[in-house]
Amino acid sequence: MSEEVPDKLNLPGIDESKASDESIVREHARLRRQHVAGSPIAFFSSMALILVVVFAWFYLRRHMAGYDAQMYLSERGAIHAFNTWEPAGAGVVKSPYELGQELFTARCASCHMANGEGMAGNFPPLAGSEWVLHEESSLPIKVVLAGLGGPITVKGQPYNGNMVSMVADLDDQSVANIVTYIRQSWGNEASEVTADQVAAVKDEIGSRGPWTGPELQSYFE
Amino acid sequence: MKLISNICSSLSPEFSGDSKHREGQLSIDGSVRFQLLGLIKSAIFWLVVSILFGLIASIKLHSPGFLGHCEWLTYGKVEPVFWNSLIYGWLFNAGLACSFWLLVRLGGAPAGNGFLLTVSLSIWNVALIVGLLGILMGGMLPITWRDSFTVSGQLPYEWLEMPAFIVPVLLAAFLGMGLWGVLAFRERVHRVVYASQWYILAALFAFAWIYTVVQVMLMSQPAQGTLQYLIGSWYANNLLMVVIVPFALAVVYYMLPKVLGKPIVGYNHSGKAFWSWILFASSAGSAELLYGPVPSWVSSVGIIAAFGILYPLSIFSIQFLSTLFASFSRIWETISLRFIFFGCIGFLLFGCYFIYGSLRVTQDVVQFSSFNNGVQLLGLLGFATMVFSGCLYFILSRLLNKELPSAGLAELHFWMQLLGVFLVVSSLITGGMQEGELMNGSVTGVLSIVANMKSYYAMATLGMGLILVGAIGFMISFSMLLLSERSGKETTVNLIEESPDLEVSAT
Repeated sequence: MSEEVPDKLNLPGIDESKASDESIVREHARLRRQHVAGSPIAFFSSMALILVVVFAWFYLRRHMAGYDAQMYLSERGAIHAFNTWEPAGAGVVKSPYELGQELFTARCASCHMANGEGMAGNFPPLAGSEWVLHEESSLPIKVVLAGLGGPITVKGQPYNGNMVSMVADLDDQSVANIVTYIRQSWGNEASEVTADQVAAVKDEIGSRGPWTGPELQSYFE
Repeated sequence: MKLISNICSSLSPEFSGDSKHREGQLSIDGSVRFQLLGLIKSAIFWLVVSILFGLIASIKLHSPGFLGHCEWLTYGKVEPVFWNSLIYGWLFNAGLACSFWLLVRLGGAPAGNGFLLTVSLSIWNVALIVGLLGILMGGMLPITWRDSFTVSGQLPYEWLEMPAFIVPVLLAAFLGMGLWGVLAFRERVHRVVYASQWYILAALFAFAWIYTVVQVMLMSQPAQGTLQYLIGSWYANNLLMVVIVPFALAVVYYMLPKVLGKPIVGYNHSGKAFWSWILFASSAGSAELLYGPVPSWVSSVGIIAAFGILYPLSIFSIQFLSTLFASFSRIWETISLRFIFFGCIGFLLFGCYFIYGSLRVTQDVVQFSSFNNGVQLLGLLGFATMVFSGCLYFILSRLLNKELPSAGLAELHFWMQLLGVFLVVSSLITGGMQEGELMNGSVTGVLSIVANMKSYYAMATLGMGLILVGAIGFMISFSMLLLSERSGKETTVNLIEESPDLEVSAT
C-alpha cells in the first residue's frame, strides 16, 4: 500500500492522448448527423429555452418603455408617476398679500427685518412709518420702484442710507403685492395697491435712480 | 553554450526511430513549433507581469500608501495595466497559441506562411509593451486619434486604456495573425469541421470586427456623446464573451475527447449552443448601462440577451459535465484535464453569475461595487486562464517532444492558481454584494462601509499572491522544458505513443 501512494500523487511527464485528431473529427461529424430521440440534453435545453422566451416576453412588456428614445424610466409605475407629476401645492391660489410676503422675505427682509422694524440708526422701520402709511399710495410705490438715498427722517429719527431699487425684474402686479404687504402688516392699516397704480407711477417717473429726501418732501407739506 | 545548444535542440529537434503515425504529427507540430513557442513564451511572460500588477493594484485597495511615492505606479495606472496585460498579453497569446495548434492538428496538415505569423505576433507583443508603457507614463487624455500622436496617456474606456496611437498597430498585427489562422484552416485535409474550429474562427472574425469598430468609432472618427459609452460597453462585453470565451470553449471541446478518449455527450446539440451563444452573448453588453444616460429600452435589451445565455449554458453544462463525470478518475491522472475540469466549473459559475448580475434587482445592489470585477475575473481567470494553462501543458510536451521537467512544479501551479482564483473571485463577489447591501439599506456611515471592505480586499490580495506563485512556477516549468538537455528517450519519436481512435459505443 505505502509504495503505491507516491505513484498516484505523481503525474506522468506527458498526458496521454486517448484519441487521434482524425478520429475526433470523423466520429463527431458522424454523431452530429445521427438523430437521437429524447436525450436529457434535449429536454433540459428546451426547458431553458422556454424559460428564456417567457422571461423575454414579460420583460419586453414591462421594461421597454415603448421604445421611447427620450425615456430613461422603464417601470410602468414609475412612468405613470412621471407623467402625472405636479409640483407640490399646484392649484392653490395665493392672495396678493401672501405673494407680497414671499417677495418681501426674499428681497427686503434682510435690511428692514421680517418684523418691519428695520435696524436702529441704519435701516428705517416700515411698521408705523409715515412714508409707508401715506394716504397717497404713490409715495411708497415711488420709493419701492426707484429706491431712496441720502438723509431722511422716519418716525422722528434721522437716517442716512442708500436703498437702490430691488424690483427692476418684477412685473407691476408683483410690485403692487409688495407695497400692499408692507402697508397692511405689523399693525399697518393702509389701502391696498393695484397693478394699475404701479403702472401709472411708472409712466410718471420713467426710468431713474434713487430718490432723495428733498425730492419727496412735497408729500409731507 | 550548453543552454544555447539546448534551445536550438528545442526549436529544431532531430528525432531517431520511426513511427509512421507520429511522423505525420511531428511534421504538423514542426511547421508551427517556432511560432507557437513564441506565442507561449510571450503568454507566460505577460501572465507573470499582469498578475504582478494585479497584486500591486489589490494591495493598494486596502493599503493606499503602498508605493504611494511612485508616480508610475498609482492605482489609476496599475489597475488598467493589470487588465490590459491580462487580456491582450496572457489571454490573447495563450488563446491564439492553443487555437492555432488546434487548427493545424484538426486540419491534419502542416501549416505554411510561418513568416506572416512570426512577424505579426512579434508586432503584437512589441506594440503591447509600448501601449502599456503609455499607460504607465500617463499624460493627458487624448480625446481624438490625432491628438494621441503628440499626447500619450490612457483612454477612458474599459479594456481600451492603451493610448490611441497603438490601436491601429495592434489591429494590423491581429489581422496578420487572424489571416494566418484562416489560411491554416483553408489548408486542412480533414474536410469536416469540428466545433473547436467554429469557435476559433468566430473569435478571430469577431475580434477583427470589434477592434475595427473601436478604431473607427472611438479613435479616428469618434462618435459623439452617449454613443461612445454604448460602443465601449459593447466592445468590452464582446471581447470577453465572443473572443476570449470562444477561444477557451474551443480548447474544452478539443481536450475532453482527446484526453478522455470519449466523444462529447450530446454533441449533436453543439450547433444550437454555438449560434445561440453568439447571438445572446454578443448583445448582452448594454445591460451594464442600466440607469446610465441611454434610453431605458437599450439596457432592457441587454438584460434580455444576458438572460438568453441560459439556453447555450444549459447545453454546455450537460455536454461538459456529463463527458467529464463519465471518466472522473482520469481527471486526476492528467495535469491538463485537472485544469480544464475546474475551468469548466468556473465557466458554469461565470455564466450563472453573469445572468444574475445583469438583472435589474441585482444591479440595484451591486452596480459600482467590486461584484462586476469579480464576475469578469471568474471568466478571465477561473475559466479562460485555467483552460489555457491546461492545454499549454498538453501542447508543450508534444511540440518539444519532452516530458514535464517536474510534476511537482505543475501541481504547485495548479493548486496555487485554483486556490488563488477562488480567493480573488469569491472575495470580490461576496464583498461587492455586501458593500452594495450596506450602501443601500443601512444607516452606517459610508466610511465604515468602505473600511468593512478592507478584509475582502486583503483576501483578494492573498489570492493574487497565490496566483503569482503559480504563474512563476509555470514560468520555471516552461523555462526548464525549453532549456533542459534532451534525454535519451526524448530523442525518439516514440516518446509520445500513438493515439488510438476515439472510442464510440456501438449504436
